[in-house]
Amino acid sequence: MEREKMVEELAGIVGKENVLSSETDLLLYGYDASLFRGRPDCIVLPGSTEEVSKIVKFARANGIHIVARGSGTNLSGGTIPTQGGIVLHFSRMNRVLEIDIENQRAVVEPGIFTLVLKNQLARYGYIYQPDPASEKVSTLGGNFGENSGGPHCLKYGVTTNHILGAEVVLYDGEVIQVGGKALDHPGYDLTGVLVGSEGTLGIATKLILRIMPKPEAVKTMLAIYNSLEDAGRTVSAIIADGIIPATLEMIDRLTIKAVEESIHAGFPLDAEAVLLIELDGLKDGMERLAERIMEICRKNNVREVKVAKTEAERAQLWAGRRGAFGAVARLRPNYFVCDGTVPRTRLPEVLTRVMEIGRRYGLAIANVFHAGDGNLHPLILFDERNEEELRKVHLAGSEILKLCADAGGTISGEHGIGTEKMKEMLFVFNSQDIAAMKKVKKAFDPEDVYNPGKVLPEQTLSA
Amino acid sequence: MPSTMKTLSRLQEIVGEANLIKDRDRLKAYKLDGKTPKVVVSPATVDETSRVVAYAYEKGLALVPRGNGTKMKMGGIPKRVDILLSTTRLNRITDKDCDNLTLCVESGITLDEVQKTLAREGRGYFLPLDPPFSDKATLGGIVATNASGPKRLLYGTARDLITGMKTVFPNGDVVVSGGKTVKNVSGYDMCKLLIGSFGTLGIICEMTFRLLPLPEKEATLLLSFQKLEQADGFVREIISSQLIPASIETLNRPALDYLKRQIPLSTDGNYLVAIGLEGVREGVERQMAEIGERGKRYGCVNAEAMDGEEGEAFWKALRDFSIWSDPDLISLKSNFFLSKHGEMIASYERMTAESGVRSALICHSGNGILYSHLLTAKVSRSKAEVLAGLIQKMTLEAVKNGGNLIVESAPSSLKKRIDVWGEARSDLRIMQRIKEEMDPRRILNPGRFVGGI
Amino acid sequence: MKQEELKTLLYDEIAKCNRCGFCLAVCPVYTVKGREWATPRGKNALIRAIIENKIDWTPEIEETLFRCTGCRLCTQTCFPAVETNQGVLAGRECLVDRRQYPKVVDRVVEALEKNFNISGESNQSRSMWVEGLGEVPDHKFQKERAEVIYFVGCVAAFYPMAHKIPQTFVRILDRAGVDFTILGGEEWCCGFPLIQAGMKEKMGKLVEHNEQKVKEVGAKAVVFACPSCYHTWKERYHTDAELLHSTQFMERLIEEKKIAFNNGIERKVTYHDPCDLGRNSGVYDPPRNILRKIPNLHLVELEGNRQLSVCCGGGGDLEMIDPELSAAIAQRKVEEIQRTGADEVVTSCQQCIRTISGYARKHKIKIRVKDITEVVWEAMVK
Ligand SMILES: Cc1cc2nc3c(=O)[nH]c(=O)nc-3n(C[C@H](O)[C@H](O)[C@H](O)COP(=O)(O)OP(=O)(O)OC[C@H]3O[C@@H](n4cnc5c(N)ncnc54)[C@H](O)[C@@H]3O)c2cc1C
Repeated sequence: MEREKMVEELAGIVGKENVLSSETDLLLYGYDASLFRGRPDCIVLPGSTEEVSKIVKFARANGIHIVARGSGTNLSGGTIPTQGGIVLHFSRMNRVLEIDIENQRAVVEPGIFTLVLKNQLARYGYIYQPDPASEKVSTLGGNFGENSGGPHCLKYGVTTNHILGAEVVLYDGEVIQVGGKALDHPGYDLTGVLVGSEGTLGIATKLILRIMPKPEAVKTMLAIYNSLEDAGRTVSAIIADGIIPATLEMIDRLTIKAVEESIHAGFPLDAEAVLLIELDGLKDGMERLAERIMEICRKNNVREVKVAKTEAERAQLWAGRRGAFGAVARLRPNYFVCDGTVPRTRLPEVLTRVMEIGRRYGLAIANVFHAGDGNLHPLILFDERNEEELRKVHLAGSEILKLCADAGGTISGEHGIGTEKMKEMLFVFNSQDIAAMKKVKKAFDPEDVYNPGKVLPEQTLSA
Repeated sequence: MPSTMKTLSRLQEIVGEANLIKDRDRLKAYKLDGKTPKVVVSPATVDETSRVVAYAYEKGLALVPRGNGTKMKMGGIPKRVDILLSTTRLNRITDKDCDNLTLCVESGITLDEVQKTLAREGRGYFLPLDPPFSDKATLGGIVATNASGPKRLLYGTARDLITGMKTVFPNGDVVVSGGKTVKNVSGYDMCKLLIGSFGTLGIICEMTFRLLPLPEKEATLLLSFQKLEQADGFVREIISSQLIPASIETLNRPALDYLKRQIPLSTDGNYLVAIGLEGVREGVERQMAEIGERGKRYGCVNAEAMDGEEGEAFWKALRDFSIWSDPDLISLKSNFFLSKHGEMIASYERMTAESGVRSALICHSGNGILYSHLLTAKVSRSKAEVLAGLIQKMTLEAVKNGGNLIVESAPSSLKKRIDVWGEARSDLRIMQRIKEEMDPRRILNPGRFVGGI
Repeated sequence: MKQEELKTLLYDEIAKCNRCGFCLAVCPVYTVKGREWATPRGKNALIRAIIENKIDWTPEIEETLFRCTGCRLCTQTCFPAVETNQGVLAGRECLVDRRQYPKVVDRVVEALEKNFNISGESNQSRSMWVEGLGEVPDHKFQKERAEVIYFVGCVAAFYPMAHKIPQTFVRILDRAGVDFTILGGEEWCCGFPLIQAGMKEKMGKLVEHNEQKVKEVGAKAVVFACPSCYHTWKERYHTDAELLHSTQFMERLIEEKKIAFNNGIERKVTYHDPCDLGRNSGVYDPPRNILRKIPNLHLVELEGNRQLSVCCGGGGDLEMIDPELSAAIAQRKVEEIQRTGADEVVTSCQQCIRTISGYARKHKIKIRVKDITEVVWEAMVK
């Protein structure tokens, strides 16, 4: 369909001001936080479920693809319109529809920033647990799309454990409800399948979230190490000792340097690694648990354990952690985030080998990650403008994922497959596994209207 | 349909003669809503399972998976039953990695057996699921029916605990989903789809679970109240507090009377609130004291603390409340908005009383899930009529309060008159589409699931 | 600026943007517009695309680059601290070079070239506001030589709504016994509007003139109540005189006991950090120290304060270019102020006052907005 006609039809649904199609707009909606680029045919900013449904009906009738987009901060190319089509940007659907304290649920539109909801909940003493480092700007729709994780997911689980239902627009424009405020609805757990489906199965126009009273007490510790391996060993030792802290994050020397240049988070520049360990829950017994953790740290040659004394100190440590990805851009202009997972006990060994890969390709690698979950984030530093380096980055990234897969882990812990890791899907799944997933895609979206060419590798179609 | 003889010999080739039942009399024990399977097979490996399923698929034979049968009364009346596939020989622990807090097991092992093994391991671990009949229920069955227990309040359900699965799909494909690590977003979360899919999408052969270290301390607190408002007010206060109980169960009088016949209990109120606590010692002790205090403020007439074995006996009796072998037992599971807790219990008591049925109600108060056990003797034809009407009313009540109602157990005569899966919702269409894609020949458990799937 | 220069000047800076999007959450323009072009990330991407010859100077680029308040909250919260506003201003210069910019800009430039102020009136009327003072010394605060020059700034001088600021400030200086002068018709615009318009090469004449005046008066210090003038002088002027914002100067006068407060003011106030004073010049404490010195005055902070202060909508000449957008940003500021429950919002910038109270008045919202000089004077005479 000609762009002009398309724009006109869509303007009829959402109003002219909410359809974008200039050269600049097509460029601006061609990127996300990954290294990929595409180009949509136009961009629509819907204002309601009804509008979304109409847009989808129109698109389907005319064979146009649709890519849902929140803030475009995903790291795997999930919002790249690789085959053109309409980008549905949810910035206008950003309201909190309901904070239902008695039922411990919140109902939101998908375009709301995660942190905006959390700030509103804080006024009631409530919390929505998932805390991606990007929560300040990521949307809940995006979190839904990627099944995002975050430091506190070690104890509380990831996004999927906190999304209980959704209103979903299907590929033909029909609107359905999956799950709900109550638990255990009869039938297949469609909510569970939709979370993390990267906009390929359905588009969420409303989300029902679990919220809970915020914990009574919090204790945050910074354990400082002279060796990366010691820090890694501490992580598995803590878990093996039967303690599941709220967070167990690791940050290495190179990242510390970058973070401290950005903001003064309080990470010592001469450390090889630090662990950011937080306990939360009842105040009773917390001191003793903290002492036990410190004992384990000491057994693993910790240099020092600092305890955050004030809320401000704690906030500062976390600000440092959350800004870590961005901060490494101070070292080299660009960073490529790998997102593999491994069983915790394999961490020290895998980390060493990750660094070897870096050396082999002559690429600097910084590490900041959810150690407690065994979710690595090696950040490969480079300059996107240098094509040779870019090529090496992709090779090294792929090798790191292979390493994780071979260590009994997987190729994405929280950032998704998107456009970026389709090939690597074959490191962990065979063609039968992928064929099964394709059936799910076909059940939801038989005409491939939504986010085509993502997640599932093409070559196994025959299987 | 191929001749039975041919089928039998083919299946026998796959699993071996000893693992196949074809004898009429013995088959009767496997009757399902009055339908007797033609054969029962017990494959010992994933590969055997795959071959059995592939054969059934090829020939279009209806295949019903079964663990130890504790939930066989659940679900709609099957359209056909040709092969019953028992998972009991798939009963190995394939990877026990306590340091990483993961456990990989085959589907035919019982939960108790797993727990016993884990408790002996190192500092002691457990799989945080506590569904009914853990001594008999197999993990495959528990997961396929998404069974849960009181402690789901603290630990969640299978969807929160499973990280990976190996499943035989209807066409015989062995499909791996998820993995061993807790975080995993590689591809669609197929595990979610299979959990609670009631054997209609695939035969779950292997599962990887998250484990937890055994808690330092466990304790149980039983508080009795005379009035429902008191129990309800109390429960809702605890739920919205910063306390972190492992379970909060509310029982009505008939449930309590029944329990008292199983285990000694001193309580004599009309409603019992049972609270399970576990975790760090200091935390458990503080909560015991504080919850007791709060109970008094709501007019608790009797408080009883239990620990260790005594407590475990209580929880076991509570979990195993429904007698799984009773053919006429009627058990209903309703879900609802948390805030409708008191309303749901009151209206169910009223409705059942109006129908002249005694009902034992047990509620996962912190989750908004209510089990109603209708205590009737044999279900006659006329009674079935009354009960069907009652269940219909109870379903509407649950729907009104944001939920739905599933009949977890009922005699076939009653099942014929109702939809055991409650009111259909707008997402049924996609469920049917999924079934169509995965199992186009409808060989797995035909007719037993939501919307006739 | 020529397009080719963009590359040498800015390519490395812009290349640090990894499109993480953290800026979306803070950018006042995106908060209102909700479109990617409004984001700092988007602006970086456009400049980069221009540098890489991937896109032409479309009308939308012009629209985009002229919609930035220059508040730099994006850079403040950006971990690699990408200076998006530098790219924006350089982009505007390129657009000017191509004669592709909003026409309102010409009006201002014309005014500046003709009268050396932004108002379109003769520069001789710069001291109009003195008339409103009632009794004044014979020199009407205009002396040939003085220790201190008070550089009033165009907005305060020409817009009656803002007259209160110079009026109270000279009273304060007078009562504190400061040897100061204003430049009257010899004060020329500092050049800030030209920088924002992408025409900074035109400001040379203004700068030279003003620098010369400082020499003639023999002033040791130049004081500004306008944060943008202050910031522009700090960044672009060469002078031996000390440059101080009024808040810094008043803080000093209080320390030297030249300003004294008596009974104080019983009131709950909040303080809005003007972008050009706070984030862009690093002056956060002096205004707060002053307010804390006033007996009985209770200061509550805004959600976004100090480094994280959110623009009022008046920055970067946005009010002139897109009044509607400016007002929508102001609306959010007003809401933020209301959430503090303060009786009054104090700031130290005439433009912030204009934007905030302008929005409030138009929408009949009761909110008292004061410049810090007014509060200080009130406390001095009470
Ligand atoms: C610096 C930085 C730090 C990060 N830290 C973390 C972290 O700690 N943990 C983590 O998990 N991730 C992290 N991320 C990745 C990213 O922020 C998350 O994936 C986030 O959830 C994406 O949100 P978004 O609003 O930007 O979504 P987008 O990128 O816009 O979209 C993400 C996916 O969701 C789909 N989608 C969006 N809206 C809808 C909808 N309404 N219905 C259906 N599908 C939809 C899209 O199609 C796409 O596939 C980080 C990213 C950056 C740049």
